[in-house]
Amino acid sequence: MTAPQDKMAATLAAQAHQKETQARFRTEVIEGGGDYVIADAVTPHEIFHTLDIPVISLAWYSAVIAAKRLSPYYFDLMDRLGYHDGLPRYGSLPFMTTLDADPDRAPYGGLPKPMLILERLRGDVGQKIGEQWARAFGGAPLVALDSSSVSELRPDWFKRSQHDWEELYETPRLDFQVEQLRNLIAVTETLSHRTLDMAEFRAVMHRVNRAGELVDKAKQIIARTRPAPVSLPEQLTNIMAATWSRGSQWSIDHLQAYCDELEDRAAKGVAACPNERLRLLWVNNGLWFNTGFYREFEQKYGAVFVWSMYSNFFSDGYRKYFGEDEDPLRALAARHISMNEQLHLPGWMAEWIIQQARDYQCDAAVMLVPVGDRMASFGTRLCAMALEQAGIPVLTLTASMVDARLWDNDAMIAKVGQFLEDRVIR
Amino acid sequence: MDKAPLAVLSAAYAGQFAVAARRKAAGERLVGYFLNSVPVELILAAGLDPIRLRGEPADRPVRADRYMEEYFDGEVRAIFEALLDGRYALLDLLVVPRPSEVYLQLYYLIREIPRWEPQAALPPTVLFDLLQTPSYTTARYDLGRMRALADRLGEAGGEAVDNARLAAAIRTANRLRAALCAAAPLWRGDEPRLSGADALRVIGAAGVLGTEQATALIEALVANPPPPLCAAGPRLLIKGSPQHDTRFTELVESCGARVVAHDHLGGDRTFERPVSEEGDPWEALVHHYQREIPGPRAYPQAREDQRFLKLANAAAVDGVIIIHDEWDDTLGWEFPDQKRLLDEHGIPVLFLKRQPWFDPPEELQREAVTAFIATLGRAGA
Repeated sequence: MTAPQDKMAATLAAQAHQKETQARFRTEVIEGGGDYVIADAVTPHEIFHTLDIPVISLAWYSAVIAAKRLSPYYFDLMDRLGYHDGLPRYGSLPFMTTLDADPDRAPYGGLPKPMLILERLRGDVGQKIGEQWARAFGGAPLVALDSSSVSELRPDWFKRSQHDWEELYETPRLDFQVEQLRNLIAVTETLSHRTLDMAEFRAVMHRVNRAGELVDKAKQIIARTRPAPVSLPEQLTNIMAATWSRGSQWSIDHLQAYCDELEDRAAKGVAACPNERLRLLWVNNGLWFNTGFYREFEQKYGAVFVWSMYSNFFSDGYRKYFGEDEDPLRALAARHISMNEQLHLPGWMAEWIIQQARDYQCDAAVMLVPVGDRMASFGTRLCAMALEQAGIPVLTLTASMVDARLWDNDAMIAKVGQFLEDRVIR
Repeated sequence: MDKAPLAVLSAAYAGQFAVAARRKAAGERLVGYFLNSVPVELILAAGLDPIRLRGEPADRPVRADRYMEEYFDGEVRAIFEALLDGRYALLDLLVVPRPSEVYLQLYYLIREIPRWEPQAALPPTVLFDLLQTPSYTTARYDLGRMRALADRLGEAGGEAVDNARLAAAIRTANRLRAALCAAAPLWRGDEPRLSGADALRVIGAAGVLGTEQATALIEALVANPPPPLCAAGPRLLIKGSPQHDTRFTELVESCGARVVAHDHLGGDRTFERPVSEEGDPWEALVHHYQREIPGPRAYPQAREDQRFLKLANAAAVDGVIIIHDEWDDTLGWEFPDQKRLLDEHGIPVLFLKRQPWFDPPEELQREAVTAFIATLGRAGA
């Protein structure tokens, strides 16, 4: 077995791409005053990608703020402004950078007034934050995509969602979502003085599907190869870079290079943890301010996190195939209409994760139950029960996804270690 | 003085499941629902019998906690416990609305339970996916959901809902709203005759009893009201998380205040606006539930806040207490703006954030409320 190596070339390329994207944002938007959009992560970025309008994703900017360990400052600001400490923290960080109005502190100099703010109202707070944020920018347009709810959680969503999505997500909901997307396109075209090119939009949609196929290929390599040829933090870097750039040729080329390198490492026996003995799932949202935590258990226990929901949700959740005589807008509607439900509703969440545990040959799961973002905690209790019933031991860690103030690293490492010793190591 | 209507209403409020059992035994076909966002007009138009149910603090989440995270609103945890206990099984249908994420999650949990407890006695359950974004596109979606609910009521034994039946049902439901509006001066007027807790009982009972009976009782209460209360103290409005149960209102009143208005999903604004009786009844119903009812997802916020302020002014309040549930992730976003609005109008406000629904910290609450009352200039006037 070959010893662990430095970062994959693909990882370095993904990081370089992120830097290029950020540089473009700085040049075109912050310095050049160009159009851009602030959008919730689970919104149809594909429309803006087709129109070549930069998108700042709330989740991405929150993660950047957290990674720079700025979240404590902004949460203190939130307290001072009267937003109580029980409110959702993940989506509120970017809003706080605007209220703070300090470009020297905010990542990339803070966000200038956007062309529009796009919220998807999957919970109850999007419109409240969106309205106030739009006002804080001095009157930015707010588009709120309302979020309809599926009446029945039909089984095996991850097997049906790529081709059989019309029945899975229910026709009235898709009709409604298509109408909302048409409204969004009309608003965006009006504000940007650009026109959505149908052929390019169709091509973007096909490229997202192709990228999803490559993510699935990466999954197959990692799932079957023991020891795993890549660490979880590097998986996240590569997959998330492609996710944020979905629909681009770069995302396809990058994922192809990533797969090729994974194949090569697998063939040569290059491993993230050469003494891998246990494989773990990281269930629920990522620990963005401390991704190094995922690797804390390799040396002592040979325990390797090989999967999180970001590993292959792109392949299972994003791909929506459509025929050449069909409207790609309906496929785009299908892409986002139940994305969060698939990740957080008890039945759908559990059945997918159990399947991933089997595919990735996992021995146990560590589940993050977020505090301060209760929507992301819903479904975790039943999911843990279902995993245990399927023979997969589960440890739940209650912690913030983004607030480093609430994270006791030593205590959490000890907790996972104890769990491995008590329930996993045989 | 005839106190009988109030006594009947209070008893109905206190014994919602007993009322449900009596109504069921009398041959009614009960359709249960929660909060203010299920169109009772559709249930009435289908010839079925609506009953609005609420969580009770006595239903501590023992079985419910096995499945449901502690971050749910306390009242929803209590509802789920009662459901698992089989107390909703007498319903012919349970309609779960989607006024907020926790009720949506409740629906999915109810649907998931048979996998874990096949023996659980649960009623047939349907989701009513009302959306409240202020747009024509959303109105069209809501119209579809209304018609789908009418179809589902038909499957539960109801009649087909045509325009004439729906228009008649709108008039029936509006009569109940009008009766409650006529009753509101009993707690909101210059000389209150009902306490704030009694106001909650009357409003709550209006949904538990049959619509015709509730209307008649409230009209009788208005015709023969109790004498003015002797209680003095500042006039307060309670706002925030739903206060269907009377515990916090009673605590505030025991501190020497008069609670003269409630702005939450168990309060005054739930009956302030009738459904239009003009034009297409389906479109009138959609407009009402999409745009005119209060709810955590309703926006623009400034419009909702103006309605709150209008209620506060109508009730001539000396102060406002805003109380939020322990795990509130929504209403807290409104507070800074509401505080500014109240400051501009010279209305003092006490904010009690993150208050547990089970085992509330009553001594701390009493301390905070007493201190707040002491600051109000007109206290004891």
